Amino acid sequence: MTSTPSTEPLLLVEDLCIDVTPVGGKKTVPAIRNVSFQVRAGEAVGLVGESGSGKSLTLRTIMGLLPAGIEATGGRVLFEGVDLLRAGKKTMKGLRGTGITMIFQEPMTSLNPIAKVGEQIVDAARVKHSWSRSDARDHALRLARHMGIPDPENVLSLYPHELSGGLRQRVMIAAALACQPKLVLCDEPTTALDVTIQAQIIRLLLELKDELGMSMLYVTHDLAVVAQLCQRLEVMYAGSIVESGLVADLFRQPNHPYTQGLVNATPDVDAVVDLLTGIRGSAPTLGHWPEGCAFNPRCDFASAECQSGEFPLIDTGQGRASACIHVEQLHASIKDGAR
Amino acid sequence: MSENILDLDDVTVSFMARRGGTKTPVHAADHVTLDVRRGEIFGLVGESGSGKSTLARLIVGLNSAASGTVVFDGEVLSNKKRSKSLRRRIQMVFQDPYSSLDPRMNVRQQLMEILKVHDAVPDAQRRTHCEKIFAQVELAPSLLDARPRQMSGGQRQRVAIARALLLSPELLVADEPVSALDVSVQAGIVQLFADLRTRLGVTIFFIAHDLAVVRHLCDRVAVMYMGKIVEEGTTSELFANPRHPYTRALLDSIPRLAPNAHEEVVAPEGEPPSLARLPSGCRFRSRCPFATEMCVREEPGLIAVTSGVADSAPMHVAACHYANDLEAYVGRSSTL
Repeated sequence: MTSTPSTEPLLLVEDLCIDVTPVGGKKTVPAIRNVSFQVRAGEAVGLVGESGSGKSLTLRTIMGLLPAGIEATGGRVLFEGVDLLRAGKKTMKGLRGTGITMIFQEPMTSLNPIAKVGEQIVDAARVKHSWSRSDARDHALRLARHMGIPDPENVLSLYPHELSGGLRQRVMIAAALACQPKLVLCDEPTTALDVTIQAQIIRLLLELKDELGMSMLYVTHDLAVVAQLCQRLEVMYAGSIVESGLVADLFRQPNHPYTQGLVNATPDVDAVVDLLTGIRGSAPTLGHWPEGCAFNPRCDFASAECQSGEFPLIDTGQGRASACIHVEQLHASIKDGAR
Repeated sequence: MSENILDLDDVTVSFMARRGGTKTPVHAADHVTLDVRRGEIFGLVGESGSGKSTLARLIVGLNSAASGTVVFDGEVLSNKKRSKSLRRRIQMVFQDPYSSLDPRMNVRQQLMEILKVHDAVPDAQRRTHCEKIFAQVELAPSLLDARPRQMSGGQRQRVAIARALLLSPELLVADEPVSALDVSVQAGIVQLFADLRTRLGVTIFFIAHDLAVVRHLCDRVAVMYMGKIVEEGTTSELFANPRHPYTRALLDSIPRLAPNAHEEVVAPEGEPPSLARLPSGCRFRSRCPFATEMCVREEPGLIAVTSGVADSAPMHVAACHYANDLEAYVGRSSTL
């Protein structure tokens, strides 16, 4: 069963700020603003937001994979007490694979197309273990079996393009977990998959998490996937976290209009409503974030106060926090709607 | 005017697949029969490679049938190039509005060009016609002068829908029109399709892989697997009483919002086989929890499902030998 999360955070992100300099552009624009959250040992945390909210960028910052032109300008990212923003290349290299690892959305572009998939798992395993190639190969076979890869001897001798999307994702998970990392960063690993294959991968990740006691930071746009996988949830909008708390609490009673909007916009296959309500307008693009609360132009509760100033996450008790100053009106409207 | 706007009768669409130097035909759509009634929203669901886009492209004339007939409003459509007047009556909305709109033209130019080519509206009325269509898809007229890259994903998809509506088609074929959109925007586009049907009476052939969207929008649904229709019925009947093991697997696989709705995540075993190497008998049997010897020997055809509802039985068919006694097999494992 699930191991009880300890209180000491494995990963602590504090006031993280990231700026982007557009190609050929003179002016840098903020992409992440004062993002703080933590992941405790054995815990799975979901990071949810729509395209452009900064969720993938947050993952890449933790992994030290920011491309040129994108820079962390403030804050700390502590992994077991080590600040990854200030760590040297050598420290980061030592941590990748054994401390932190990442599973990407599209395994076709993140696996090496000209190497057999077995070799890629072997290479990943040899980062930590000074195994001979044949020992590493045995380990790769064991891993492949563990990941539910059918006929592993054969599959490991194939190239990525010869595999289905689901198998490729299993291979990537095998390579990512080859050195028993403590923290796995997942960047929408099931978004490109068919729903039956997605269910298989979610089941696999749940099993692996329980069995290996690993922690997960899971980025997705799909609230339902988070409901299956994670205990806690951080909701991102325009580069900031707007709400955080336990998954069950957030769905039962959202403390931010954006979270509520997301829940209402997600169609439920088990029940039909008369009117499917989206959120009006669309998410702002980088460099065009509204003043004040970035959600205010799309929000039903927005007032004059919402149009300027800062909206940090405020603790609302019971391990929850929200950046909205109109939580009471939101709750009142949810109650009215229910009546 | 016939009740059905579209009839596919035993239609097969084949492509040549190269396997080790030899070319073999694979059937992306394999003896498909279905009908779409005037004014309804018909949903077609299935996973990648099931053949749903192949059917969509066949209906708008981008694919040709190897065998079988396609009948549109009582008229048999041949594989020959379609007349302009026919093309006006069947229009398509693609999945990705970014790649299906011209990046170098503003929206007005793109719409005006279509009106000019089809000479559908008198010259003097073209500008107002564009504005009228824009209002129908709930876009501000000022966006007519924008280029696609200046718009959000949701706005672009509304433009793509406006373009399809420009010539007042009778049948709108929409191929995964909401899959590329953010959730908060997706709901609005789904609602727009529902409104357009009510306001304009246009028939919509709606393709999706998301069953929740289909349940909200469609009157009838067909489920496709590996080129075959495996189940078809009214939306309420099919979701309440799924009779094909694949439909059940699809429904079970959908992650639910209620946290820990399933203590265990249900997922069907295995992956779809290759179209070029289909198993004998039923093509789902390699993943089916209920498969028997019979499923290896004989490919099941669509059989009528005896309805759980007592009154006049709604049309509901499933391509499973055990469609009418599936309950007896639930919990039992495959005997293969």
